[in-house]
Amino acid sequence: MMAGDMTFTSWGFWAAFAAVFLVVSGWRAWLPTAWHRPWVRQAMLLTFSLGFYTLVGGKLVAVLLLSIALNHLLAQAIHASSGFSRTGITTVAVAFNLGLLGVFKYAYFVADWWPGQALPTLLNTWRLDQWMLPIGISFYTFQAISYVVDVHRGTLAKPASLLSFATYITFFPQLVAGPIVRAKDFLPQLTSASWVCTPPQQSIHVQLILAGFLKKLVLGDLVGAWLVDPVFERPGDWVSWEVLLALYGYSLQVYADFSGYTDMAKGMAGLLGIALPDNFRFPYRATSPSDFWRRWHITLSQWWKDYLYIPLGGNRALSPFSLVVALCALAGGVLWWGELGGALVLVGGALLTAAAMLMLPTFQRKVTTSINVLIVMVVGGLWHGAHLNFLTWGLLNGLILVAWVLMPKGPSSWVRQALGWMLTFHTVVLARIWFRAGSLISWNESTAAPHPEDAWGTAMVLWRQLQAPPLAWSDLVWSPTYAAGLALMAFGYALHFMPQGVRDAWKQQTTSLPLWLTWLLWCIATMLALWCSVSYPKPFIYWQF
Amino acid sequence: MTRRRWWTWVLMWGSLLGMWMAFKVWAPKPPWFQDTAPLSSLQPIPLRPLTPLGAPTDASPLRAEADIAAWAHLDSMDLDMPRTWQLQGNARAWFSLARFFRTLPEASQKRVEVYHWGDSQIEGDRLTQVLRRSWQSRWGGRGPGWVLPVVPAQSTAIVGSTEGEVARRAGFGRRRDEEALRLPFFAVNDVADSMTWRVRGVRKTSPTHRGWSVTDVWGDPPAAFRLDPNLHASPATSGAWRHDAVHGNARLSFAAQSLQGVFLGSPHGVMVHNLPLRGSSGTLFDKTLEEDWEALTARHPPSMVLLQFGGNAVPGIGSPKEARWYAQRLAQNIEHIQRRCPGAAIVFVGPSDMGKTSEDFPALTWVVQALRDRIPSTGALYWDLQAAMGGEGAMADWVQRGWASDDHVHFTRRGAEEAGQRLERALLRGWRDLLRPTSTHPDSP
Repeated sequence: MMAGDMTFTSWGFWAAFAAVFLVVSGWRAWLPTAWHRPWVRQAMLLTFSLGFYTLVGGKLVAVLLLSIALNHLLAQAIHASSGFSRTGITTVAVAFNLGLLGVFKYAYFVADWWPGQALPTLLNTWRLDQWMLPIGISFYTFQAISYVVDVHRGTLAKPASLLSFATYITFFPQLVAGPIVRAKDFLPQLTSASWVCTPPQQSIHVQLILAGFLKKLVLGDLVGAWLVDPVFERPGDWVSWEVLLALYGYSLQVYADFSGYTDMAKGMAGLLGIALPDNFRFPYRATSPSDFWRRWHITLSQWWKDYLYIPLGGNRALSPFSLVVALCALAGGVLWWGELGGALVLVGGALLTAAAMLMLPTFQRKVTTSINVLIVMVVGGLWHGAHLNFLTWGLLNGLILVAWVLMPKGPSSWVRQALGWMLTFHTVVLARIWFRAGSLISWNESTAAPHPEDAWGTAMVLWRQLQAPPLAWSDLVWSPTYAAGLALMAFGYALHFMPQGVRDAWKQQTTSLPLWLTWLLWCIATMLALWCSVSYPKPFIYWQF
Repeated sequence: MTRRRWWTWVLMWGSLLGMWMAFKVWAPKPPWFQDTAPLSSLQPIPLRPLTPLGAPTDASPLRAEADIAAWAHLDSMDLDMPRTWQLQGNARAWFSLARFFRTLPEASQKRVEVYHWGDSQIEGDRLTQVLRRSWQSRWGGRGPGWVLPVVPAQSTAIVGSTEGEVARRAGFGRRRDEEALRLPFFAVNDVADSMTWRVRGVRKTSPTHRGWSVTDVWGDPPAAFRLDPNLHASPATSGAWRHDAVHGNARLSFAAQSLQGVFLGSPHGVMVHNLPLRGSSGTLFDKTLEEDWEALTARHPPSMVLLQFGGNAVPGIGSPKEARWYAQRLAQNIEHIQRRCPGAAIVFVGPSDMGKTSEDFPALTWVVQALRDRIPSTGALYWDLQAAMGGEGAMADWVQRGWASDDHVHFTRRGAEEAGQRLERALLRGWRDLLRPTSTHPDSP
């Protein structure tokens, strides 16, 4: 079976999931009591997960297995050691995981910027391009890092068994694109006896799957195909407001796509008796940039906070690493400027900032926060992909956050909240020019999406087009699909900004529905959504990261 | 805790999956459905027979032994194709094609340049790229050829970014500016004060897009540019610069000027230039400046000119008479090019099929017929793209396959790749038929 047949919107996947669900939920009834052990369930989940990954990722399952084996051994070694050796082994474990990510995700990025031809030639000789980027590597590597660091910190009392650890890393609903779940939250659920969910819980999980399915196929794929893709395919053909509409459309698409995936993952995991953490909380309602990142891809933001931002010093101090990065950035700025006057301005500004930091503790705190936030956001951008576009996207979001940190704070009022929302929502949407142009997926080849190497050029053309004068009314072409895309986008945002009271009332109604009715709704909605879809269901945007 | 019986789940899953499968098999697709199945799973569209164009010509086949040896690989290529895919032309046209193909093996010593002018159908290096990739791989040559920093649609051959104020003016289209009607792009980039352009070839579309070692800037005033000092450039003939092969980014700095084109290529090998004129019908060649043709043929003489127009004229044509008039205008333009570039092979690619049904563009049939009647008599070869797509109504099939976009006019990249390959095969087939007297001649009945 081809990998493309195993997305969460394919018949093949749901047929396989139905089999998994029936086996996992029925094994207690079919097997003798002596087999009613948590390890049996874990072994079943692991088998299914590895089978799923093999179908999706092919031979790259070997990389996943290598990661599991080595991380397990290193975690055992960390637990058994203390003092300097404990820190040393943890460093080796983190370096191994980062190295794995570096080799498989960033080799070509380095090769493209490498002076001379030696490295690109070497990479081409090895034909790495044929098998690079194992699917989900960014997610499972981060889970592995959090695991070994938690063992080191003592957050986990003891390392898990190989079976539990492997099940944790490979758990198929969240293996490919998260949510990034912590071992301390996940492992106890594997050994818990109360894993069978009740019929009302089952209804909720099925509703989650249904909601995710509809979000992905209707608000994600249709808005993307009708409103967004045409603009990014021929960026020079569109004028300012069309580009803007495409950007707002893309913001809805990426949210519907990713949160739809998360809903389905949570629903599936729930049916299998595992609770996964929330990953989104109406992000476009955020009233400040920092609020946005507390609502968008929550598990990743939390990961960055716990394993990078706080170790960097957070908002209290600059770690030596942060200091080195800041000095490198300063040196880069001086080199880029290329003139003595510019160099003096930059160095003078840095010295003045340092002096002000020594004299004003509040200012010191703000500068410290800003530098650490910028580092996290740039690294976060690059986590999405080895491309200048993602770096730019991360940097832009970092600068928006820094601007917010440096802005004088006043008492909270609705005016301030409204202004904060305006700033946050629109800057997030605009910065996505670089994100969308960078995240070009091979399935889109048939719709003439440019190659990833065009990503920077596409983004720059769109940026220029934002300033293009509008066309005369008579020159506008309103194709039916474009108008339908606009209507769907308006509908999507209306749902997103629906008042909480209305939403709660709606939720109250739906949770009381019997499962058979929910199921029937799922059947009907599935058929309708599949019928509406513009092509064979597309892969999820975040599967490529 | 109550538990649901397992067979209820079996029933529910069965109903969902059963309905899903039934829907997948039997439900009709919505009108906007786009088939994005893998290319390998698609079968060629059955082609419709083309009405014969007339009597066979007496093209002079050049059957030197050297040619046969250089082109021995043609024997292993599958060049069998329906008549609809083949080129049509008179003796003069076949002779010029033979001359072009005989020149290709000499590309190891000199530059062989192909100019592909066309409308929006070739924008972004569509079709052109197929020929460039194929011919540069076989006969040598590096670089995308003529390019400009600011164009309406990004080429897939290069990635570039500009710093400084630069604006594009075009001598055609809705906002035409007569003064901008300059070769080779029929448009110029005005650099206000200074501009830096960072550019690199895109390896993914063709490995030969990188590694160019000749840069030639055509602007007014001339020589108002500076190359990246790291490239160790030295002046070459005709004002061009030889330098180290560029595999990554190159930085070109321009002083204030009106920039007509930047040539990124190699001292020898095949160069295939993509020169899209969005919105044009191809009738402006005889309005260009004489001095531009002189400069073009002196610095980068064309060995082949591919012209691909017609689609933009279709919506404005109301009768067969108007279509014949349009074909006549094109013929005059072809003759203009023949006078300016003597010896160059000229191949005219007709308009693609357009519209959901043949009723959408009724004039298309008239235009295609008029072009088929008129172009071959000019000494240019005519290639009927609509017929090669599958004939009238083929566009709907191409859209369904994901080979053309929803507008039912433009090809997607995969469609352009397919059309480009069919064009290349038609050219090679024509050449093989000239080389092999025993094989069927393209115009034989």
